[in-house]
Amino acid sequence: MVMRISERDLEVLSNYLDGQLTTGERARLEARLQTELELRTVLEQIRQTRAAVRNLPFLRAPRNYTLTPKMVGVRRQSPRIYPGFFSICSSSNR
Amino acid sequence: MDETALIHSARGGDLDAFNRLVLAYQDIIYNQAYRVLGDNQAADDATQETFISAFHNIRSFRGGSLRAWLLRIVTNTCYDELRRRKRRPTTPLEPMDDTGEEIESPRWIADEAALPEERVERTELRGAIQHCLEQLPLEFKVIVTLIDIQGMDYTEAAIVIDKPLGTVKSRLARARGRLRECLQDFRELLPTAVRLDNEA
Repeated sequence: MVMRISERDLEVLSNYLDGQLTTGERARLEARLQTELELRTVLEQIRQTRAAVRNLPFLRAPRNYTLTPKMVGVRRQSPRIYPGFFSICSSSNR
Repeated sequence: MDETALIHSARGGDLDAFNRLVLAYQDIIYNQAYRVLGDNQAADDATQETFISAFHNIRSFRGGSLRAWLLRIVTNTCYDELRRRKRRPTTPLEPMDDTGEEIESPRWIADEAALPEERVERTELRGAIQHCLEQLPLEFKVIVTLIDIQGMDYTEAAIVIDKPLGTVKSRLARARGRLRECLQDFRELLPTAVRLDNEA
């Protein structure tokens, strides 16, 4: 059976697990946890849930996503051709 | 060359420099896309699209965390993909696990009585968690993925989703609350497969 708690308490428990409560908020919650079984149970369930998600494997990308000039619509710089190059070539072929 | 120098070169249109950044971040971006979208092909497309978009917009990157900036782009790409799916819904024939293998008799559609104890495997727990993640509203799914899978702190996650810290806290709590409810259906899988040691 899933125990229901208020959204405010849910947020306090979630923040508690992540160390996001102030010293005062933490002390108040820990005092309540001493006496409220339901709150303790939900805390443990959220802790397990968080651990389950954190235990999911970190996947490696199945391939490389490097970009080609074509994919991004840019041209690779071609070697500079100097003015007069062709005329020199053509004259040397005569 | 360090990251700042690569970003500087990429801003000048140096594709080789940008591709070195791609190689450094592609696992992070693919993970985020996969956990939010829930299937390999869509995650593959979203990852590629993210890097193309990042290249075209690298001049708008104002410094800070490149990881957060890229995660913001992939998150927006996933939003677009899910909006597109809503307009044209499709149903996969078989759910897949993390490696792209079809899951035979997944827990959430299988006849429980037909599953002997020994078939309760780690992949099934992963499938159950991914299934529960997929049931979450998108904004919850994004925040739980950023914090509990990518390992971001609250401040960095707030930058990615462009919302105040309070929104991060409340969305994360509600996401964990819904995951808790969903995972209660699979609770017999939790004690063996989840290590609670070293947890806060």
